[in-house]
Amino acid sequence: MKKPWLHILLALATEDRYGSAIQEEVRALSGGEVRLWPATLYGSFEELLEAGWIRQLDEHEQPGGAGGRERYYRITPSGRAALSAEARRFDAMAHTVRTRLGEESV
Amino acid sequence: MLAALYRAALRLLPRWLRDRHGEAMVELFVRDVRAERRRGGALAAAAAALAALTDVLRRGWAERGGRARRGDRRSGAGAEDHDTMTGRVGVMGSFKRDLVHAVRSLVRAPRFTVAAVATLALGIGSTSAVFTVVDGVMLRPLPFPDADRVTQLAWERGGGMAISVPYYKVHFWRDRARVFDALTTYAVLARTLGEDANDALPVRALGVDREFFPTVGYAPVAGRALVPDDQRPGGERVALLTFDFWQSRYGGDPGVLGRSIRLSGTAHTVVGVMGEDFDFPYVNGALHVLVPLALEPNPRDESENFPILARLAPGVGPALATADLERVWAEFQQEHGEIVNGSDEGMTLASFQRVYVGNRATVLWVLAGAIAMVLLIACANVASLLMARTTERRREMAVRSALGASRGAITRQLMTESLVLAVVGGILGVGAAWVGVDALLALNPDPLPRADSIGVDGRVLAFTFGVSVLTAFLFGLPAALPASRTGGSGPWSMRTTSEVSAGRKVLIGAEAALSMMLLFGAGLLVTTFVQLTRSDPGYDAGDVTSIEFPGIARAVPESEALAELETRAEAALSEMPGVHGVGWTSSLPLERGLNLPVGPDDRPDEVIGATEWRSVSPGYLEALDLELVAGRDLGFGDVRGAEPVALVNETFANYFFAGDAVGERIAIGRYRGQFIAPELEGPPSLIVGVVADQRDISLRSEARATVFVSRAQMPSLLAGPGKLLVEGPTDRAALDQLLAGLERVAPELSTARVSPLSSVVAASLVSERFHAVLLGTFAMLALVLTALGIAGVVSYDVRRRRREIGIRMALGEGAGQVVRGVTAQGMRPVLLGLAAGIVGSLFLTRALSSLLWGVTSTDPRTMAVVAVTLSLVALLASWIPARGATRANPVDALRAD
Repeated sequence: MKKPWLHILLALATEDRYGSAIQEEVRALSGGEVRLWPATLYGSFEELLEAGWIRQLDEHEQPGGAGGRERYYRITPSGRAALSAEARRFDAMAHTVRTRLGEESV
Repeated sequence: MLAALYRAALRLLPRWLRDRHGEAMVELFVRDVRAERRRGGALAAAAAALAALTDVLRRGWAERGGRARRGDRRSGAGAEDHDTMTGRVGVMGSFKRDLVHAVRSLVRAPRFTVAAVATLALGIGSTSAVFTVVDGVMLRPLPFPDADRVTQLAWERGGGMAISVPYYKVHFWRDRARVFDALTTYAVLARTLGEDANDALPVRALGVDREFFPTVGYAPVAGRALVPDDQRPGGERVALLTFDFWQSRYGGDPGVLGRSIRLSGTAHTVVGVMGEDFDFPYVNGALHVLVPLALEPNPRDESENFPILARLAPGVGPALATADLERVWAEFQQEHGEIVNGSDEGMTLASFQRVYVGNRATVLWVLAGAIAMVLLIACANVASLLMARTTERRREMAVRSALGASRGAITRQLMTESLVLAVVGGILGVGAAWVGVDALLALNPDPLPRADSIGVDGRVLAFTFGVSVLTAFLFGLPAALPASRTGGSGPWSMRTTSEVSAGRKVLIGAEAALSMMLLFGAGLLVTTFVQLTRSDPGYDAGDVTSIEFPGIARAVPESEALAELETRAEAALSEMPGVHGVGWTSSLPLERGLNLPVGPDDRPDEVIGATEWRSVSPGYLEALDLELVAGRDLGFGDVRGAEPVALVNETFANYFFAGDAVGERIAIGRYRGQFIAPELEGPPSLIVGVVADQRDISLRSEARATVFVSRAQMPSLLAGPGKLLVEGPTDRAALDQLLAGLERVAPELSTARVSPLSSVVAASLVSERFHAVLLGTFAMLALVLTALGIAGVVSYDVRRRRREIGIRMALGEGAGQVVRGVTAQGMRPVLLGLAAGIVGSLFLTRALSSLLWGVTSTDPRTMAVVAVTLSLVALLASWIPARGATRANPVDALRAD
């Protein structure tokens, strides 16, 4: 999974958010390490929309009501599935690393 | 402006993405940059803007690769984006292909490439050189561990700030303040090292106290730091060596600890060696040894010689520290009312920048602004070149478009070429900066603080890279973006040639405006220098030679003997042929002399604290052609034992005696009823004459209250070696005669340093000259670049209109008429830009006002000279290519397509 995708999905895992709120959440989650600049952020939204992992909230679903200017995004069930598949991949990778380092028996 | 640049850069993205999110992206960009500015200042904001811009580029390449993979939904293009080996194209693949294409295309146009790269290298290189200096002096943190806790304290007094304070105040604040871990002071001392006085090695010593080490955060790597006993006057003398000196002088011998060395004739025991990383930026130049300052805090000694450096306790912020300093100040006022002046405001925290960089900061920021303008002009030139080149490549673009390349793909391709140009220019620029920094520092007479550690390093490389990429956007985007107005269906539609001409003319106008501002700024600084050089300081330095005797104090230690020697030398020299005047003085004009409190003898409460004090011989006034406005000159009868006499200048006479000072008595060195040093005690001095004011503190400032006392009467301790002024012929032979004459008087006078007094005056103007030369260089650079830009545009115009010109000439129009027409067209944008530049300079040059003298920041004469110069250069730059057009054979011209 592309790094920006992972970060965006993570930011959306707990609640629906809009563009700059996602950017801030990603920054906070990574301890200031990861910054998604506008072009990457919005470009990734499009890719994630296309993959069906996130969806854009309809106007009546928006927290601010129909009048809100911000476009909110929500993670979809397949997005959650992709995220937990990624987590399993990390686990497997971590397991391999520890085994190789001799910190854990096979 | 950044937002506009970003908005333009977004056109590198596919249209559909831009349409959906363009506004949100710009909004987020503005937010990001603002947040960074709040967090980390302008530099951080620029870095964020740069990161966001490169992000757009990267995204552009990613979209191009990604679209093919996802089975593009917006256009049929994309087949060419597939990598045949892997079937997928990432950012890098897409970027690599653009890169290869860009390099090929640039290599095929060597003349264009060389011109663009050279212009960029010049612009980026000088920008990097200036950044290196500004960063090294002002932006970089101090080299101390936990440097943000180290601060300077300064004495605030109405309207000003004293960096150095009397030792007693250092002592008082150290005792009472609670917010500091350590508080120290220091002084640079000139010493000699060695047994034999004649063969002694001059060394620079830093006098410190024991809290110096915890304050700066460096401890000796061998031996020990100072202990309280080391500072006891009369105790055993100790010294620490700096690492470099330990290596160079003692070969790094560890056995040096405990050894005795002689510093200026006194034995000192070496107790420690500082580490290699020890760095003390408050002092320029190499330090060799550290010695304890052995001082007794004495409230009556008000000589301001000691700067305060302090380390804040962890967690103490400026507010808490300021409150504590105010508390100590209240205590000081209560306990020491007798040494508090009405305008004193106590101690204040002062940053390194505020204290040491001070007014040099103005110069550095002016430089930074000037160089930014030069860089913009360079960008405008390259943008103009690129625009012309893009029109010439219309066919290539049309072919690529017909083959399926999208607009975005072509735009990205052109941007890649710009990036290549900028990065190559940047690499060459770093080389230029390397040379430029040394030239800049060598040119600067007034040593910048921390100049030793200034150099091209990682920060500078990062900055240069950032500037290169930023310039690529600045000059690349205008040419790379398709014109929206002509956009539409069909093949790739580039701008029409006339549109490009119009665009280039706008750039020329902008260049002219920037050049106008730079030239005007430079013109004002040059005028300042000329005005100061021509100004009448009140004395005539023209045919005066100054002679100093560096070794005289050691050769003739007794002041009586020295005074007698001076009198004999004065008498002997004044009889030599051609000599009009001979006089001794304690300090030369424009040299800082001793300052003492002086006031009327019968009004002990009235005093000018910093009266300029000079001890002179009776020939002094004559040697400098100073005018005596009242009373008499000093005479040879004014010797020790006779009534002490003094001359005062008009400023002093007006301040205390409404001008009528002759016959009044003054107390020299008396403050609040007490003499500040026992040597000054004695009967009051009688004012026997009033001397016309002279600007001898600095050519820029008005005369300061001054007293002249007779060298033959003054207290021995303040004597010091005198300097001899001789008015007469200044040619080599005459000077040799002078020196021979001096040697005949006494062999001790044979070691003399001779220099024309005018060189002392010139030396006092080195900063002004530096400002003028530097800004002048940048302005010249701007002028040349602008001229090249104008010539480029006009010759392009002429080539485009070859046919038209050919027809007109074939129909009988005279060559002169054609040249006039073409030149006029070239000049129109220049004149518009010039007008805009004049308006702009009226605002900008206000920043210079603290550097100006004898000229206002809106001086119409300088303005006129500069505007005419710029117009003439522009006229020449457009006339030469215009004339070339008429030389072409009309038949060839008509055949041109």
